[in-house]
Amino acid sequence: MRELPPGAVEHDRSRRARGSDRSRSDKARTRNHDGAPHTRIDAQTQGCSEAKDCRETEDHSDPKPTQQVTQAAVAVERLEKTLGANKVLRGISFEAQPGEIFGLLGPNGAGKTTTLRIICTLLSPDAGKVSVLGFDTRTAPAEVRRRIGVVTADIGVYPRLSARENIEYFAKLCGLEGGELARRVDGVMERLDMGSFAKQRAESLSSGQKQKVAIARAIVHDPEVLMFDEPTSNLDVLASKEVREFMVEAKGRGKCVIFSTHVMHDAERLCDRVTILHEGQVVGGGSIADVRGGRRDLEDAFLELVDAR
Amino acid sequence: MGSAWVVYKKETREILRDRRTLMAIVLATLVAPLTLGIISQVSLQTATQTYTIGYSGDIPTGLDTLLRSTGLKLESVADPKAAAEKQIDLGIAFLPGELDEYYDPSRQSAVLVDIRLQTVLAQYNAAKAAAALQQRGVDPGILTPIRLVSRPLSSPAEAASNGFLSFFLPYILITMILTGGFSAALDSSAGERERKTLESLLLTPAPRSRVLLGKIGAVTTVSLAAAIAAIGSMLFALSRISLGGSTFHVNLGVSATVVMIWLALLLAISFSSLTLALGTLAKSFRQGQAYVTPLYFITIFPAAITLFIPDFNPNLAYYLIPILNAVLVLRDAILRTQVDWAHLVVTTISLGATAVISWVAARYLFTRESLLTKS
Repeated sequence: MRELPPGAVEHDRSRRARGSDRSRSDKARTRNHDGAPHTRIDAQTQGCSEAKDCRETEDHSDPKPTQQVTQAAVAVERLEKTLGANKVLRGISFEAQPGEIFGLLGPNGAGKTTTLRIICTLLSPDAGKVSVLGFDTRTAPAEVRRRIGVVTADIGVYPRLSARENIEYFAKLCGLEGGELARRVDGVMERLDMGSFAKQRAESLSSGQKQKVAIARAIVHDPEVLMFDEPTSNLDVLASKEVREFMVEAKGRGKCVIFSTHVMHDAERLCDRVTILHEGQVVGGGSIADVRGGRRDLEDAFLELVDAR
Repeated sequence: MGSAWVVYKKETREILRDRRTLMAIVLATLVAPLTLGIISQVSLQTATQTYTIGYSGDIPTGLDTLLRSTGLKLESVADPKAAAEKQIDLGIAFLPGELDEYYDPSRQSAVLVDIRLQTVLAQYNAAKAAAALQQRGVDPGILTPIRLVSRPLSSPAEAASNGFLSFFLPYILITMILTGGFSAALDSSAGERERKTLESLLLTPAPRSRVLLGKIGAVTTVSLAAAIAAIGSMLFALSRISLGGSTFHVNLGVSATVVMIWLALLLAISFSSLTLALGTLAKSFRQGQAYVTPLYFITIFPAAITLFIPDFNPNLAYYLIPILNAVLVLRDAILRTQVDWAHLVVTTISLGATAVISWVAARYLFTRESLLTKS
């Protein structure tokens, strides 16, 4: 990982402060009844009746961002979702700003992954609303997907393609071509220090190298919003450190980074603000300092909030 | 169409690097020459094989020479019936004015000897009768009041070749289109889930229907490649071997070739969509195989119908049945070297509808929400 000074992860105080300041300056943010922040959005009620139809929308009509009081990078409002017989989300709301690492915390089964999947348009909400940089996930899914990059714990890559070919494939699907394509691919590979295994088939890469491929393909189109869903759960210590460094670096570039994890230590080190989910509901949120309060660390605060339910 | 083309190129590249698919194509190429080579050798051996006849009694003069000239070895035995049950192929007992024959019809060698014996006896009896008539000053032609003069419109070799092709070519074409794309289709659908690349793929701005279109295109290409390789190698092998002593006359004809390509394309699109649809239901390659294998058995029976009923000539309504219609149209194009347009149109509508239904099913399954939540 280049362009990152040593210790940036542990003591990126100035950037964190910048992010916090910026988030605090968003005066239009309001609080919902759960205590989590949300933004009032002028509703464009042209919802799709079927999620799959919405996902197929090509956005040829040059959709405009939803008009809103402030432009949060990601705004989630009273989100509900049922999968099978399981009500996974029960009206959660939060918003994440550009230039911050926003933590989505919760135990397994809390609804973190479902929330992220709704944000990135893979699932549609049963109720509530999500907008990414002003684009509604239901009416402009393709525009949303153009503006997000997602890294998950499942670092699936195409084994018979080289590392570079894997990245190129996703870049092309994001609409990049010609010189711009080569420039972007070269750029992310250099940024993630992937030169030594660029031509190597993905099947022969280590987990850490595969995770770099997964990150590279998620950011090759330079998205404004990056979402990391338990990105380090399958990685060793060194590879995990590189992922954390990358998140901090992305934040420094002004990206909105949403970090979903149940590892409180990671969240405490990296996040500017967090929302804590439990059984599909928001049980707490705010800056790390706010959530921690007088407790020893974020984990204690987390356990207290979760146990209270 | 840009994203579909991107997916097509990537899938094709991956398929060409997949050992399983390459092995399937190589096997498809080798299986026809190997099988035909073995059949050729066996038929040659059968034609020149010497069989043993155990006999008792006195052999009529000249008959022994005729029997030996057709590869039948004579061996004197005490009990022809007992001998036919054990060590020899067929037993005969010469009695005054009668020839008793003992053989086991369940033994192929006994059946072959029986045919040869009957042929030789017919010639012997005819020669004896002709000689007796001539001795009495009667024209032997009296024995054949109507003489059949055959004037075949095609050479026997050509007829045999067309007959063989009309049986086997549709069968090979259909099975190879289906099996040639199996691995690629499953790798492209269930494999995406198994490798955990599906979510990343669906996160791109490319519409899912175009992603699916690219995948179907790639699988169709591989299916066609496997079928072309199999048929090409089969035609090549046929031009080099002889069956039952006669050389094959391979001439597919322009109309049969065009019909074959057209039907192959429609079948390949249908099969690709169908196997991809089934593959998207599976969580792993192995589970996908379990889903897709029944499709092979459903396909194989209509594909093989002309093997069992060579002269199957149904009415037009039967041409609505997918696969069966392709077999029949292709058979007729090879045998009659002309195309029945009504049959072809109905077949095209039927296969086109199958392709559309398969596409709609695949699109529905590929765009449903549970594609991710159930993985």
